[in-house]
Amino acid sequence: MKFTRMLLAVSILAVPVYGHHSFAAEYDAAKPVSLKDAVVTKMEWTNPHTWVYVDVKNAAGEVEHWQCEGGAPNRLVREGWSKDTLKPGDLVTIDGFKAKNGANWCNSQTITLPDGKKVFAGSSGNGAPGNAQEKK
Amino acid sequence: MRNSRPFAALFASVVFSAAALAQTLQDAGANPQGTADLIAKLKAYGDSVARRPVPRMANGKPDLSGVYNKLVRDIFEGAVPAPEYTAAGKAKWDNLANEIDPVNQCNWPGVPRLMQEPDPFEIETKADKVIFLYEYMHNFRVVPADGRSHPKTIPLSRAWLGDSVGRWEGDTLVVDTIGFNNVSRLDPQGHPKSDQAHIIEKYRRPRYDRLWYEVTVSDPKYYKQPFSQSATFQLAPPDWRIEEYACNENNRDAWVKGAH
Repeated sequence: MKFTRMLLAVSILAVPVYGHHSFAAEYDAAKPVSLKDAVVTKMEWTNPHTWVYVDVKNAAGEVEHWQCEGGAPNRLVREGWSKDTLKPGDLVTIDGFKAKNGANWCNSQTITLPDGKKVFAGSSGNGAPGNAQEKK
Repeated sequence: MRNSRPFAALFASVVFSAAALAQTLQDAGANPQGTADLIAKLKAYGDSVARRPVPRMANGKPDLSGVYNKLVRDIFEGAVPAPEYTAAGKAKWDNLANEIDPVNQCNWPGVPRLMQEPDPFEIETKADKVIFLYEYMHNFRVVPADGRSHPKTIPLSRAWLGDSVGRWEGDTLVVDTIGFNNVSRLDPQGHPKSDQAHIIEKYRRPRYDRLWYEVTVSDPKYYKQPFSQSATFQLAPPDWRIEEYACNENNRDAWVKGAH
């Protein structure tokens, strides 16, 4: 079954796609990011995507401001999210993919909460390679 | 950013069979829209109510009412025969890279693409009409099923979803739709659909927790012959309701340079 799915994925990639389109238009699958010990500064519960804003220290110890896109509220709620899942001040790790435009933006796949619990945060079903990796 | 969610074997010609029902429902394929935990919960709910009798309306027709999830569904994987395009259809398809997906700008997916997008949908069957509520784009359709036919002239105010009329063939609800604009596409992959498209959808509830769906597309402008696809969806738990999806709230794509 998995083999069939892989074949299918390949065949889908082989067909034309819209000029402006999906994950690949904005995010770079070759640039995974892991924002460790990121401090949540803001959470936006907006459509069609939620946004998490965090401050994270880079290798030089400087604070960088990042914003990461997540799934729409309707999907995150069904995955168990509520407004209390992420609060300003929470220390989290966000794993995702960096924006192609070089800005400190990411497409989040999973967020590790202060208690160590990992929650699915993805834009889900968007063709992000993280989705496929989770299947394996 | 909008998403592309392959509905897998879109152009597979599929004949409904008992075998299809006996098959274990799969998750949504290569591009899951939910975590394994959520999908497991949905499957467990379906299994827990599977043996209940299929409800019927006072007129004896099956009651298809309920919220159906799209995370667990029986998709027909495997070889996908390419549709046979007309010259116009081929040209339209080949030009896809130069076009903007209408839903990226929060335009409606239309019929039948609505069924291939993520997020649940609800059906309410009444004696003389069927109401479809789609969470994705918060669209709805009210389809008369009282013996009427399409109007001679389809009002211009029915263009994205077209003009639909329903009828019952035994226990199968048949929804016949024409009158589309030239903008919406058949599916998230962008297969073309013209104003000549004639879409026939069939709905059946073979078991309490399952909704069988088949769509047949005839569009002589773009395809040399009609083709069909089917899928089986699973009833969602009673606490699932159609939630909001306000596409244009913070949609950067709607304002991307060159998107208009």
